[in-house]
Amino acid sequence: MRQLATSVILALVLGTCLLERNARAAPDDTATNPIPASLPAPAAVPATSAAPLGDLQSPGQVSTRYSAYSLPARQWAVSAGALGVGDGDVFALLALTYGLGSGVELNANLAHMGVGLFNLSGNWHFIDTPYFDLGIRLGAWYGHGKWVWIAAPATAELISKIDVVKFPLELTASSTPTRWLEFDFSVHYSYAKMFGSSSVEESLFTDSELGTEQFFVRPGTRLFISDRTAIEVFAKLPAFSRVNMDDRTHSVPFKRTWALEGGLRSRLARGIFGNIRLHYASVSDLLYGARLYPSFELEIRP
Amino acid sequence: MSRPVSVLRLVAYFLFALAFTFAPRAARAQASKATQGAAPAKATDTIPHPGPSVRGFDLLASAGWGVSTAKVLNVELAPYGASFGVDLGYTWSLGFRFGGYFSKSLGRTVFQHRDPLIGRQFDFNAQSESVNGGLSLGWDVPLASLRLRYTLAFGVTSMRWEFEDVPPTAVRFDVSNPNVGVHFAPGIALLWPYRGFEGGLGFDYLVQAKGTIPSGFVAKLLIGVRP
Repeated sequence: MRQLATSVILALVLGTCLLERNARAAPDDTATNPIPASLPAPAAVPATSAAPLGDLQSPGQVSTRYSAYSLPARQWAVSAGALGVGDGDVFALLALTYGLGSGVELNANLAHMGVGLFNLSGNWHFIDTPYFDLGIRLGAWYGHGKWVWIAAPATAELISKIDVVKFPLELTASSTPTRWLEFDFSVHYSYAKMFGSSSVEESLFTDSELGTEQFFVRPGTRLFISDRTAIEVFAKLPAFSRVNMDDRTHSVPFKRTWALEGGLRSRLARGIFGNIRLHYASVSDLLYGARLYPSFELEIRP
Repeated sequence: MSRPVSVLRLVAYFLFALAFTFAPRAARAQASKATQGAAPAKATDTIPHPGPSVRGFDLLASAGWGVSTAKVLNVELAPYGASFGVDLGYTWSLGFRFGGYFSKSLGRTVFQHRDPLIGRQFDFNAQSESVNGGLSLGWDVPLASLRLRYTLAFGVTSMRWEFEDVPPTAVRFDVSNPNVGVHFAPGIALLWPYRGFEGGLGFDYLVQAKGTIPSGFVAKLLIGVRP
């Protein structure tokens, strides 16, 4: 837990430094700070600062989490957060995302890499129309139990003889029927297998669902209540979940794998986005000791 | 998180880094304000200035209700319940807010039953209360005529507990009293500024790092002043 706190705080420090750098590069958000009448005419403002900020559905600001969208070409994003429950952001998040162009982006969670869980995912936003979008996300995970130095001694001993591989594949449809509403629907399949021996099925890998083969759908809605803020609600509804060990397979019942989450995402300033969510899930109970649990995230798009 | 001192040291590092990062920005904002009357020498001087409704100190009083979201050592404790607090902070022009808070939760008594494998069944009441204090980072986002405030607080919780009718050893609750631990608390508040006053609704989720203090969700009413 102490290492987790260290990681979170270091992530936040890094995020803060990037935030300041970003804020120096761009002027303050005009939506927050309307220009007083006494100031010179906008013509004196450089062209870059006069550019409209757009809203949260603009290509440069749209959320790529659980949506079909990807970052624009040559766009970087750095996300820092903690207490997530999805396998991409469980425990801690320090993610780097880069838009390659043609609707393709690459993403890696460095916080997980730092504790021995190697991961890389890519998203291709391959159907892009004004009202309907499709994206496909493919990832690869590898965890070597001995490298997970952050685990408590008892847990470390338990997982030291386990390796886990996981290949998540997700097809997401996003629809924006109006400027203030977005529907998302994901169909997700993860192939996962754990190698090695363990005396019990419960472990860090299974509790966090990193080692769980799963098929689920995830409907969700985003309600844009202003040009800077959206309410986001998602449900994870697994059709099956199982843990594949070398010599046996265990099914995990629906009541232990379904999840609900609701939260707010706002543009705090130009290129800076904040997100606070509440999760209700069994996995939260396993990971953090309570079914209802928060997570938070700060994203910077320089 | 068995060593709160180490955690507090980390929090101190973070706050130092934050102050180091934002102090120059605040200074630039003030300097820029001072030159408002003069003709702009450079294009950068014409960067929009903060509105008076965002920048400045604010003092908020809160009253609310909190619930524990987990048991500790198989005992249900409710150290939140009716909660009252104050929060003083300063908001910079870009919306960033830095503040400090203190709250007192009266807690409540929870009736519980035990049926041990050896010995007789028994009932007992677990009573607990808590005080919380610390520093908070926040960001204000305009939402029509309201303000949406994201916060992330870092602080200390001191929980007092007492079992009626049974000794703590009977329920294997062997923790210090008061039980002190660090917490961090993501939260959201929706505020309505009106002249020099503001009021609203919000919540904090106190994530307790110490396993013997239950985490809790506190919903609250807020009212305050912006001098």
